[in-house]
Amino acid sequence: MKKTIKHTFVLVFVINLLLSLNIYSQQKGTLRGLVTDANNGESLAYGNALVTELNMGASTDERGYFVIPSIPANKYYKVKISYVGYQPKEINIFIRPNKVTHVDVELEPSSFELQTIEKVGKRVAEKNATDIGLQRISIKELESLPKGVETDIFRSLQYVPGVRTTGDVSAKYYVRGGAGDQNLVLLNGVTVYNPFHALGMFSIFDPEAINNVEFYKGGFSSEFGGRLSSVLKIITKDGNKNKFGAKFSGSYLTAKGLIEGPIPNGSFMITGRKSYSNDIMKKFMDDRDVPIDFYDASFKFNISPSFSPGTKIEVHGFTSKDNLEQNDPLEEDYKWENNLFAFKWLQVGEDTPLFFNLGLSVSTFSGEVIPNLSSTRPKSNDLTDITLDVDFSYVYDSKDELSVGLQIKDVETNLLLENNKGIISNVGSSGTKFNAFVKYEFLRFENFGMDVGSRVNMTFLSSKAGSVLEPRLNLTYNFSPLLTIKGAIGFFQQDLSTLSNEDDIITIFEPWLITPDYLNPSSATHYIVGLESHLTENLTLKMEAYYKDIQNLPAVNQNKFRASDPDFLDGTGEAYGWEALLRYNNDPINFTASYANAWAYKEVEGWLFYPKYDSRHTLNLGLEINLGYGWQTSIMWNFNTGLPFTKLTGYYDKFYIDDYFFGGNYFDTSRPFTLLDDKNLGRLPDYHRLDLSLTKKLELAFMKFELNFNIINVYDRKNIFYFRRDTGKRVNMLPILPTATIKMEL
Amino acid sequence: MKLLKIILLFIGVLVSVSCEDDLNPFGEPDEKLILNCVLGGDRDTQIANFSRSYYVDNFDPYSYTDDNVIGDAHIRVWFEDSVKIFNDTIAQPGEGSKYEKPLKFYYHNSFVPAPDTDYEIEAALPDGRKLKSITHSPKLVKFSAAQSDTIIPPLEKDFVLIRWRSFEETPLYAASKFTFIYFKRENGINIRYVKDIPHKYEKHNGKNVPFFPEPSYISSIDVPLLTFETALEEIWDGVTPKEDYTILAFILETIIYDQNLTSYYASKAELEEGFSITVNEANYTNIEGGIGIFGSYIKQYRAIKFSHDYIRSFGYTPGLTE
Repeated sequence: MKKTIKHTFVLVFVINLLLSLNIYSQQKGTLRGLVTDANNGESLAYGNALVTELNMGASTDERGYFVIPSIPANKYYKVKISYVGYQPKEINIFIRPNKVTHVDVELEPSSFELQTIEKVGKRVAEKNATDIGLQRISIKELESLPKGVETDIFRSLQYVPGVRTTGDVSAKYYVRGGAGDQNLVLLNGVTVYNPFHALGMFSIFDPEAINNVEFYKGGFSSEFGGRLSSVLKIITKDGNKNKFGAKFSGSYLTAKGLIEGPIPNGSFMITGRKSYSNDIMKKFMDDRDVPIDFYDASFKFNISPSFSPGTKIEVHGFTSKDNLEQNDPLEEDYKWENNLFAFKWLQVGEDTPLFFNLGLSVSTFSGEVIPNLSSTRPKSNDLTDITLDVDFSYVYDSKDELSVGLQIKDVETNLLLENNKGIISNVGSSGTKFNAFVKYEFLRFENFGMDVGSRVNMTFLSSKAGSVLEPRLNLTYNFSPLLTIKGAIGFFQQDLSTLSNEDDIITIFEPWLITPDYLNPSSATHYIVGLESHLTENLTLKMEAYYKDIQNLPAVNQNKFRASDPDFLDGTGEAYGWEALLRYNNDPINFTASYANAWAYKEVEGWLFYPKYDSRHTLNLGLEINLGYGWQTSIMWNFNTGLPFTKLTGYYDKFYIDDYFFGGNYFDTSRPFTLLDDKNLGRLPDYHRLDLSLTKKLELAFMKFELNFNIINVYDRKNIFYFRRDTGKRVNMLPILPTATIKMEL
Repeated sequence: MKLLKIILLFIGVLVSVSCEDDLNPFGEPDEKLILNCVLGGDRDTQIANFSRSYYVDNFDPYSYTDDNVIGDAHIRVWFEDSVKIFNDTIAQPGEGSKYEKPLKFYYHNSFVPAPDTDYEIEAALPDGRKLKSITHSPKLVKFSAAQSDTIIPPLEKDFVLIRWRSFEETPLYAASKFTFIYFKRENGINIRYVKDIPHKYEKHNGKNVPFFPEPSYISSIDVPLLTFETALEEIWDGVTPKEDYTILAFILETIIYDQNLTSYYASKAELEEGFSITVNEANYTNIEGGIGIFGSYIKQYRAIKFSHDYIRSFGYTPGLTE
């Protein structure tokens, strides 16, 4: 505790020092704006605002706000607001001295989708942005995501360089050599623990309900904690503030609906999705019947009381449930669900560039294996996370920004197992984590940006404490329009992980556990450098190289034979590589090429091996063409070199004691058992797949329709999923698969 | 148009190279020696099997039918100040075995392992290679008279419960089942039969499916009386007069596994559910210098009295004095 106080004191001192560096100006004012869609009032994240006369600009944050401080006051300025897919708008604003001048800007959507992308202001605003490792997906980009069987935000992440999946069947993703449970998934700031439907085939988030997505591949700033690899931050829509509306859509797999509309001083949105057919699932599971039934539903209500300017109060909830019922007493059943309820209060300072957030949330996950009369052992896991978040951010006249926050997270896990003791036992635990963060963004220099901060951990969920501080540093230097150099270094800790066997191709039961008391919380250090170059007005190149060192990595004990054997072993990990992303935007063509060259290793009990998601080369090519008249087409090609697998080196006749009363002889109870080579030394064949998508938007009377036709795996590539060692049967991933979706909007 | 041509050319190239890539899942062959021996406390003949691994390149290990048994080894088991030297012999493979020719194995026919004893096995090849392992046979358990039912059917209960107490420091797996012994008069002669009583029956497709308890750390067995009744009814063939069936005794058989076999079963218990796709099966071995299992178990019996009226209620004849 003494150490904590000392560390906190040092931090406060550093912050005070930083504050004292701010330049105070009496004759300057601050411009703050909220950019929204004129049709529905949805905030527009990652748009641009530019004071043309001064060439000063800023991007909107995920809430749609932008702040441009230090504008010489007592004068009118023309401010140009632009956003992808919207008509740019120029407004005249009078800047008051020493005040915050607030403006609400509504942008009209372009007459057709994916119109020329307005670049004005963009490069000015992003010159010194400390955004290495960050991928943003805006509301318009979400609409043009590849649809596939079901439009899926997680599946779209696999086109981001540095993100890997292990196949068509799973939407689970691995970022820069990190394990699946090292990815933090936040829905409106609340952790979602198992964001997957149907054995991990799809994510539980309906893109229709999403406003914007931020995805950090590493080096994320101190406002995020609790995970080692990545952060996926999803912000949902508020709902139409101007009129009531409804959307319905259907695919081969699900039917879903969304209703939204205004309420006094606010808006609401309610969504629901339900699976109705399992036929398509067979394609994912080697023609095996997968009797899964799933649904998800969400709501969000928000109000901005007229008596309290700058206040926005949100209440949102989410539920998802999967049932796998085989309707056979001799077969096991499964069910798992997520529930989330949250309250959020956002306060924007009336005459000061201060933002205040208060959030209180409950997020639960539960999963259960119901054996019925099968030999499967019953298991159940539930997790309850109650979190209180308070954070402030303040934009100084110098453009620097200070953010501080406090988080109290109480987590309880229960894992009921029968297999170890022959009786039901609970190996769960609980803990409360008090942690704070401080982040200071130096944005005062036009060509230089720095984001420095740390998380301060006062207590941990696990009984073993880790490091008090998790320092983070993020730098950007813009040499010229052609070259921006970026870098990040950070220390990250995690004391909550899943007990899942990484050798499983598909795991249906992945319980969450607080790091047990015989292990230290796992930690990782990220080192990232990168460059960004706007080669031409339409062509952008981003390159990043990274090194990640992971310590105290919990690995499932493959040799747990006794009840007293630990569930986890202490491991280490290492990952490094480099990535490139090339983007060409020139209406009506949008071309993206990404490449990753990566290495990942794990070491457990002296054995060094490649994790199952280690792929040396990944190349993704995407081409979107706006054909006009509401027609849009996209072509995606994905290639990666083979994933690791363990070769077999022979067989032996294993002695199976099937009859525990031991009636047989040796030869009747021996069956061939495979002998394996060193783990994951073999490589599966390369994977590649081409998908085509054609979309038509049309309006009939008062309704809007969107018809989408896709062909997955156009040339029917036989990408191997796995092979069964017992039979040698090769199981491939998705064959050529035509799919269609229809969306109707009232 | 030019762009369209480029795209079509790209797809054309892809289609032409899209055939399925071959996969070679085999690494360098790696010969292992396999020794298996489970000492059973319920028999005087103990068997050991000594073999080598084999390699097939067609994914079908059942296509390997050559004799892979190592026949010229010396297998010995030491305990206290004694040694048992195993002899080799051959036996016909069982029905359904992939092996067609007689197979060699090792045995000792006057060796009953005692409870609570250390045993060490050694298998030596002529080239000097040796495989070794040790086991400690389980201690006898004590059936609890106070906490167990002593008569079938028990008074004012609808299940039969037997508890026992283990004297092991580390819990061991156990498995148990009830049986009953009966005579059936066929052509004037009493033929002896043994009927297993499962833990429970479940109806499946209109038929009774028996379920026996898996080995576990549980030191008791409880079986519903209804299951006893179903088992008793099942022995009647529908033709023979019921009084020609003589019920002799109800017996509880309990097997206690040593630590090695406990671990073996625990590793099997970790097998995943039907929808998890697992490619690496847990494999417990405890043989130094090779792979396989060396373990021991003991089996104990306990007779339970039964009510003659209860047997008569089924129409059968009670066989022993009450």
